Amino acid sequence: MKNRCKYLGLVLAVICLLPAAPAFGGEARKRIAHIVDQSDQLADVEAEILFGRELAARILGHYGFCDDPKLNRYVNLVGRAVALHSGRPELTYHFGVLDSEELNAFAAPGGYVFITRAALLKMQNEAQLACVLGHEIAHVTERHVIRELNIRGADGSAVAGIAGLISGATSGTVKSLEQAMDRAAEILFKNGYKIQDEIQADAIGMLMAASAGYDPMALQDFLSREKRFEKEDETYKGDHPAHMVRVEKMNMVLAAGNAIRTKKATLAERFYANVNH
Amino acid sequence: MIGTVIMSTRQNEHTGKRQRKLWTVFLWIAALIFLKPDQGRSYDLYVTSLKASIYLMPDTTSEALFEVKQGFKLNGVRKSGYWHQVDHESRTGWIYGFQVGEKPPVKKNEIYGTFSSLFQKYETFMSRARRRSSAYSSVAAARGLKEHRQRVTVQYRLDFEALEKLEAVQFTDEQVMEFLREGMQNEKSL
Repeated sequence: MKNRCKYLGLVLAVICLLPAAPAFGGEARKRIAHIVDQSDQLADVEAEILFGRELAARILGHYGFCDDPKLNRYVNLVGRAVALHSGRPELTYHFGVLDSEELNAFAAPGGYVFITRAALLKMQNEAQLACVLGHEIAHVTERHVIRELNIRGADGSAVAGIAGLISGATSGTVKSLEQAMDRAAEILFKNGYKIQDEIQADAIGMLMAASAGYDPMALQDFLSREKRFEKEDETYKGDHPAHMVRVEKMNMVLAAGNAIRTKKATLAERFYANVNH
Repeated sequence: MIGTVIMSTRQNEHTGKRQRKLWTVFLWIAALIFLKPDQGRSYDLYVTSLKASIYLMPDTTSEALFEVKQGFKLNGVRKSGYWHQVDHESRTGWIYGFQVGEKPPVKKNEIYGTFSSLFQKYETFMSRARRRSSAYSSVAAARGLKEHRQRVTVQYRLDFEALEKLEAVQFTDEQVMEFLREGMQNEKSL
């Protein structure tokens, strides 16, 4: 019985000390780790921007740029208003309108976000635009494209993998980088994101737009509208998951009390003043 | 008879040892399942969005206790879905996960302040790619390997001219905030 008590005491002592163990790391080690981390972080973000810039040039080359300064200015202002509430303040976001009849929106790493002219024309207010841009910003902040490429760096992260390719000095790494960019373009143009990435982008986009003051329900409204157009519009590209699944998930987020349910701004008048229907 | 008693005593000892071992294994497993190393230990969180509200409950319809600005350090207690429970100066509340990070936010000028180095890297990369592409094409052409030339051809057309136009559209955070404020005020006055 005594022995059993000893055993129990020893095991309980170990259990109690377990959570405290990492605290013995020391402040100096923490500071050094922070400095190394920060410089790695800067290099990774630079690589992410360079990669995204190349991919953005591919998107523009593929769809064509809608060279309407007034429209681009407006889309940029709405997008940047939402991006101010994103978790990646180190990025400068660029928003552009694509001259395409296809209903779609794209995001390239590093903060490049695009929406087609056709998608803009299907919208009814600024809140819908804010939510859709918020959804695309979430693909940037969560690094969905880079993660999908499944390139791993020395520390096991996808961004470090891209950084490794960009800093690579051999022709082999340049070729690998080009291939990675083409694969990224294929994800955007053909294959689409994973359903869980789309659902995560919906939730974050909706919450970001709400933080900026827009009605988060606008994303649901637009997706329901898009669903109707899906049947009518043959040019619709199915690179987003079934609309009903997404709408249901959004309802779950709202029902769980995770989003603002109070009525917020939609700014329909300003939208129509800037987007010519 | 004595032999039977000794044997049964040995058997009891053996059973007791086995029971102790089983107890130890059981408690270790229970410890691993219920006491993750992170549990009970707070962690640093930094506000990465422009500003963020701390709510009483993980629900934006609940009372907003206070507001924090970008870079503000909070003490994370636990994560639940999209939310982190945080405490600050003996007040506990909830914040959206996408508005915080484990590291302090990196400022724009730290990244874009070194524009020249960024684009130098980019140009180096591009010139390397061009050099490789043209060298490869000419060698392939000399050998009559048309399929190789097709492979090195960029699969997608790249439009850097449009990209530069896009990047030329610049706004300060203040201009963006003013645009937002103006819109919200007009909506209220309607």
